[in-house]
Amino acid sequence: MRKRVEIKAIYDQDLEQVLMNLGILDKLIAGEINCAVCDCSVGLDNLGSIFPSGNDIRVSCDSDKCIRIVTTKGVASCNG
Amino acid sequence: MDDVLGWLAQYGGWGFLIIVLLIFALCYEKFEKPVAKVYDLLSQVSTRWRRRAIKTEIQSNINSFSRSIDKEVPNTMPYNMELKFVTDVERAELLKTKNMILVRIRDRKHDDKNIVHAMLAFCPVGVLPTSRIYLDDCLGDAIDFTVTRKLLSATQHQSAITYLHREVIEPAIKEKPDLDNICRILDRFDDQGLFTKVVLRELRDFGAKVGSRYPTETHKSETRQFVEYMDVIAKRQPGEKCETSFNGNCISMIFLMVGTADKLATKGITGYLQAIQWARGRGLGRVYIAARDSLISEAERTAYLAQKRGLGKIVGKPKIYEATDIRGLRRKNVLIEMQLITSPFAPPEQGKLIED
Repeated sequence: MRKRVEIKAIYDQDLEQVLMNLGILDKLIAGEINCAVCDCSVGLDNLGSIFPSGNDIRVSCDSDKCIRIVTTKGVASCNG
Repeated sequence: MDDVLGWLAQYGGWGFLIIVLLIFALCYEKFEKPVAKVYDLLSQVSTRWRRRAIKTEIQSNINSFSRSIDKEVPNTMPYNMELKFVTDVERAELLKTKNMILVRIRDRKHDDKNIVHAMLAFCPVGVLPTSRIYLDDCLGDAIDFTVTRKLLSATQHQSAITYLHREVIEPAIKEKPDLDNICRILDRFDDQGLFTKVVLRELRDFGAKVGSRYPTETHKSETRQFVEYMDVIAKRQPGEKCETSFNGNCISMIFLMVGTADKLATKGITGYLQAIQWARGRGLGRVYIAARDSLISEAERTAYLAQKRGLGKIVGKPKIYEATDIRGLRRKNVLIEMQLITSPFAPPEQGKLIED
């Protein structure tokens, strides 16, 4: 048996519930959250990834460039 | 065997069912594709099944591809991917796990996006995991794009290939113009059958040789120089002379193409044996002997004689495959890998070889 690498994901239909649990659903709907990489405004339509950063939870937009930066360079590269 | 049959006779259908379940549990990886089809049929029933169908389909595509690459060159893609859907994560829980990244996976109609996102998230940890930190950003990205494109081609996911080019590669190239050149080089390697068999293989060993050293610019520069050296080999026109050896701190090899008509006419395969002897004298670690079509047997003979003379050891079986040559013709190729046996006392020139 080969070792497994786990990629954590959120399915579209669970998205709102997860965002509500994380306490960022209202802010996202209000357009108050920006992408941690390209700084564009992120809403429910263009949300790409969610990750913890320090004591906060940050998101990236669904542009592949931004998701890739978050997944390859790690969360640390987006801090601050 | 008799015991198993006896046990089956005693317990009948239940025994059979237990054996089937055991086989299924032990070889689950191999059943991922048919299981994905079953989930797909059930996906209209509820969200739960739909989630499972998406997960199993993405996993089965990526894992069967990574297994096939890893079978060709062991430890280049040593892991399976497990897509784990998070349905109820609390804020405190997410903040506690510092490096957890949740990637969004969309509904079935966005299959193209889903597989590309999942593969690109998997590549940095799943492809060349031991060498990754020693590759420069451009080379790492180009490897990931090439591997992803290979996966999508293998699964005949044409719309996802278009998505990958338009939405991922082209924007990335606009930001890093150098990436375009490396992507083209890796594509050429792939077309000629050198990408996995030589390039990924050498880069894999690079990570093993460097061990746990702190990654420096020297490491990154060596891997880039190696790719450029291989590109000279890949672009070589028939009969054209070029540098066939690469002698870096961690990668040292020679690539011999058995196929120069005048060399074979005047020296036979002795010329190639001398080249191997020379490489061994220079302390190079590995030789790749390649040939096409009717010269495949000459390459095999060269490797056999080199091993017989104690110059090196053939590693694995000769790899025979179809690939495109520099003129765009599909031809039968062979690639034989030999580990050179270097002796600290061996002088660079060891006398003239006489062909058997």
